[in-house]
Amino acid sequence: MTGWLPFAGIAAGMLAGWYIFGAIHVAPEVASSYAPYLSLAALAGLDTLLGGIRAGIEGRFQDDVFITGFLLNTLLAAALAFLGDKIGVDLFLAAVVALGTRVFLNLSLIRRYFLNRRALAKRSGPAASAGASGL
Amino acid sequence: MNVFTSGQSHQSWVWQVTALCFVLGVLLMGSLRTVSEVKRSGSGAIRVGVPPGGGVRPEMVRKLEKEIADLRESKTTLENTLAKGNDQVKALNDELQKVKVLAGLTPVTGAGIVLTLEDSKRGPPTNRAFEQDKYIIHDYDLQQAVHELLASGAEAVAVNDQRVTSRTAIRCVGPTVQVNFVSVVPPFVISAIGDPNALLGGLSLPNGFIDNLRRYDPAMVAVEKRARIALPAYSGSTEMRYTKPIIDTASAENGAGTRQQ
Repeated sequence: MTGWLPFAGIAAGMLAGWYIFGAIHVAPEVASSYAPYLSLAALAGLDTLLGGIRAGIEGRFQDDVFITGFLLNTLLAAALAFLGDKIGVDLFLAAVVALGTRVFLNLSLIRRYFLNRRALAKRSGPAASAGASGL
Repeated sequence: MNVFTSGQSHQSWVWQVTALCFVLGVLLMGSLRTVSEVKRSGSGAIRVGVPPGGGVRPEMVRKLEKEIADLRESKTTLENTLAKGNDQVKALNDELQKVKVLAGLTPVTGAGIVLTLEDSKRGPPTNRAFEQDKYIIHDYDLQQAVHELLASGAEAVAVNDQRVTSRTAIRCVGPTVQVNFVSVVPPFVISAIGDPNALLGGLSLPNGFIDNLRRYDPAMVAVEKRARIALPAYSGSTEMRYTKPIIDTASAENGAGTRQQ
């Protein structure tokens, strides 16, 4: 079973991030200027991740869509934030709202899938549940 | 059984999701650390760019200042010796010494108070970070302190051992404050000779500047009455290039010519 892999990945990533960002010491004035971009990148990553899981569940996962989605979303969000910074409009918020909405949407679809499966398993008894797990 | 292995198609997407999870973990932790770092540096009143050992003057300057002090002291001794035996000269010298004390050219001692002003260590609460400014001691705080002390009857005042004279300017220069053109850094110790109770009363006026500072952080201000404090002499320049004394009011107003007639 490979279901634990994403969790291991996120734990390893956080550990790596802790050490990487602990090792590089940036002046607070500099850090405060790139902090929004980093947060935005994290949000874009979360969005793509949940989108990928949803697509995987629905059986239409495509790796090129997944990778390009992450890269382009991150770049577009950063570019929007940068542009907003320059012209004095918080375009940053547009990216946060758009990505945040999608995160919630994807999460709700994943949740629905689980609830449906549980309901199905209950209705058709333990034998069917064993069968469903093999899907 | 969980969501990651339940896809109908091939299982390779789990690995890609895992890879992205790793990236996401790095990003999350990165922004977490960055934001907490920014927040940490945001609180606390910070004086940006105080030079290391700020306010410490170079060895040579200190030597020259000491030399000035020594020369002025030996001058006083000579004046006193000269005045011995001759009543007229003695009277003149007594007057001279009084004026020198008034001008701040001699070290003085007496009862008074010591006021210590320091930047706040805790800084503004996070929701009032814009008030950071109020948690730092500025040149105008020192000016207010000195003027309040003088208004309360202080006879001699010094800021961080810089004697306040008629030629003293207190002004902000970058991260430090200059008194007598010498940089001073916190903690600012303002010593004043005078009636300790009167001085303390003047400083403690409701809505006075100390009251206002204490509203932000009581730890920024410390006042202490002392039975005896010593203030150093003014060690700066006493040269007058433009000012000429008016010795005789009548002659100055009418000119020398009228007197001869």
